[in-house]
Amino acid sequence: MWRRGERLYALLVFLVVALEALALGKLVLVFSGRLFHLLGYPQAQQALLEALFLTGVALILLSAYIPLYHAYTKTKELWDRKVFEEWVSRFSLALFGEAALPPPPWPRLALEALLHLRETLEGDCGERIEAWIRQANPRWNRVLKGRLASRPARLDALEALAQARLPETLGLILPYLRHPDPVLRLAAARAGARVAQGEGILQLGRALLQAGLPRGALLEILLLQNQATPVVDLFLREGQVEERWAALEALGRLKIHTLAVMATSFLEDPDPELKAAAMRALWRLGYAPEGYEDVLLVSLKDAREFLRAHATRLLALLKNDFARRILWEMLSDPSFYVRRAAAEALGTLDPETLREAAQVYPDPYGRAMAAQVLQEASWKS
Amino acid sequence: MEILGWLLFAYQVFVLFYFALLNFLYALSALFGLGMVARYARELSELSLKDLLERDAYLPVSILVPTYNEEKSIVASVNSFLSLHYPEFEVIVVADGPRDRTLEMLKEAFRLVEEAKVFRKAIPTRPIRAIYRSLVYPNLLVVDKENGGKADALNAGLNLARYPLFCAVDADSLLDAQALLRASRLFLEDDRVLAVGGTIRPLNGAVIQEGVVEALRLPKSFLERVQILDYARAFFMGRAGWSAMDALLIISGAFGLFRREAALRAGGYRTDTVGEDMELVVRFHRQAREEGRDYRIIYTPDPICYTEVPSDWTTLRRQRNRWHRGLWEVLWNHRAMLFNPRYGRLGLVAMPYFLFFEALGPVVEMMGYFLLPVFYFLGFIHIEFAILFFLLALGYGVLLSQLAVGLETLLLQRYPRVWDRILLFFWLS
Repeated sequence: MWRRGERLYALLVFLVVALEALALGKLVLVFSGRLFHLLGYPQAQQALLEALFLTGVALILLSAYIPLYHAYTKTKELWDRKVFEEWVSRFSLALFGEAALPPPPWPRLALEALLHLRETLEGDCGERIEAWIRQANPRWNRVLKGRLASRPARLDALEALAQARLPETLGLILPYLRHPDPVLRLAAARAGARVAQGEGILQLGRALLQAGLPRGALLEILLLQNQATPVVDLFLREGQVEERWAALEALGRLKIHTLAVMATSFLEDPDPELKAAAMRALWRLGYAPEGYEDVLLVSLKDAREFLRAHATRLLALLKNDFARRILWEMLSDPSFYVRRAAAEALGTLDPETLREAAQVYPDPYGRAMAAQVLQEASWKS
Repeated sequence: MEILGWLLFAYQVFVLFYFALLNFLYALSALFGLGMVARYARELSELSLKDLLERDAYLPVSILVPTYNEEKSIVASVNSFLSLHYPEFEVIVVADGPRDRTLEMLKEAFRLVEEAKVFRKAIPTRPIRAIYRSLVYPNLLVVDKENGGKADALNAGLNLARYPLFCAVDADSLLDAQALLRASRLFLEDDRVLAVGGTIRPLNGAVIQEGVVEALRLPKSFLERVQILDYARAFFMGRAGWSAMDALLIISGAFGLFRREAALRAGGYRTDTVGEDMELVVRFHRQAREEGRDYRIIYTPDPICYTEVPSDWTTLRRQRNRWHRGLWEVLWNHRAMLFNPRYGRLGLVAMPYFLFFEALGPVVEMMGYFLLPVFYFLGFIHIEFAILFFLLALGYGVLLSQLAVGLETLLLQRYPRVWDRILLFFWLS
């Protein structure tokens, strides 16, 4: 997508725009002078000719650069592709013992081929490639620790680290979680999620607590990790609202049953978003909130419909008469989404009661919703 | 005679400043646009997109497809939406009282059966006649309703949508396979994002197989080719520039992704305007600013939607006329924002720009065509000077087109044939 040589183009555009701005500015001044009879016609004509000349120069510059650039990059990209594929083939042959490993140092494209293979292959093959990447001794260290590297170069290096997945490189990544640039912070978090192993997982978790990433990005990082449990645990214990929300979401989605009890403690959280996230997590885990019936009843009476809807869905996991009775009542809730949640929950808890609701429920909206959910269940089956 | 002379003088002053300011803004927009597109291209990580898919880190999307008389293309379009690379989405086709066989084509192609669906009518719409579910695709829903216009159809779709994000697309459009993934990740990464607009490209001339764009080629006719330039300028310079300045007022109706909750809170699409896409975005801005909420509405260059552009002058004129009327309606409905510092750069820069240069642009242009012979007959015109000025205006126009095409072919190389690129660059611009 982003092709090499773009900097020259950016410089060219800047130059062109600057020239045009200058020409326009001068034109405005001279024309104004002319309109108010402060300047003569020759000066106005000269300014116009100058502006035309500058526009012509800008057009020539662009017209020359872009086709040349196309011709150059097309040839270069074809050549790079060929060399890349050759290196993939050479490394693949070496991997399966059909040829000797080409001796290092390897060029940039060889390293890209190695990273490509690392991304594709797992198990023993993956480990051998990992060792070869170490042998290649890439310059990521210099790029990430240096002061002069550009942002694209740092992003490239972080992505390469993410692909290489060398645990010892976590130390290079973690300082970037405190970087003032949010783009680099996010890239580092993604790389860290792929690289961290063993003790590194908690180190990453602690660094993420200080990273100030938005909750969606934190959730993404947790989902990326192969062993997210320690970080989810850490976030739930020591995190602020953003980290706790992400942890609760991840807990449910990753089905971390061992931390279900921790989620129950958020059922009484004063923050409604956290309370809802805890209910969602428990529902995803299929964890019955026994002993929290009173807390659920409070949520069921809350003015905010999203809290009522989540509490209704969670209630079904209790699988008792209390749940059945409340779900029946919730079918007449004024909110469409709560009625829907009640009907769905009743459908999983007691399909017979749902059938009965579809026939005789006093509230017509509740009755229609029960019929709808029954029909959808029949479609699915 | 003195008054006429004074008026003509005032007109000259006005045209001069109008020309200078407009071209200056265009150049500024090109600069911001380039920066924005370049930054986006640099920051986009294919690896992270792959991870998002593999690890289920996404937000499900409802695709809303309002359709009227589209019997010829509707099946291919719906097929293309159904074949998108996205883990969880639903397609809601809203047949807005079509008079041709659109609904029958859908029923046959997707084995539709009627369903008595209960749904929340959060936004009032024209009556719904029937709701159909497909026996082949569980994520396809077709709504048959009384005709009420595109905005009304979108509102009906919005009432039925289940997911937190919705994507409004035209029925004659095709989405790039990864378009949803690329646009929706922005909502996941930043809670403040309310809406994301992607790039629209003309579909004419493309090689399409089973609803998927296989390759882009330049279309045959001049009119269609010119619109490629027009779209490139509008998106890579215009919208990219405005987005970079945090003042994006338009997300094209052909492809935009929105938070459903935000749209419902805003009351859905307005049905009394033909510019419902722009109106919704302006309303998002207005409400968020009035409520003091932190929010973002952004353009992102890479999620691509392909759309069929008019191939004849009559259709093109009708389309542009509709867009222009829509613009005037939006400006009138939200006139309170104009020059109002309460709305920041929206009220002080973006809205005035749209009023003076987009809405009034054709008026100024037409006035020029009318006054040129008047000036000539009254002897107020200096031919040599006028020709030079015309050449300069032309030169600026070509330059801006070349900047846009340069951006398109350099950063987001989509026309693979070198000849097509050269043609775009030299001949068309």
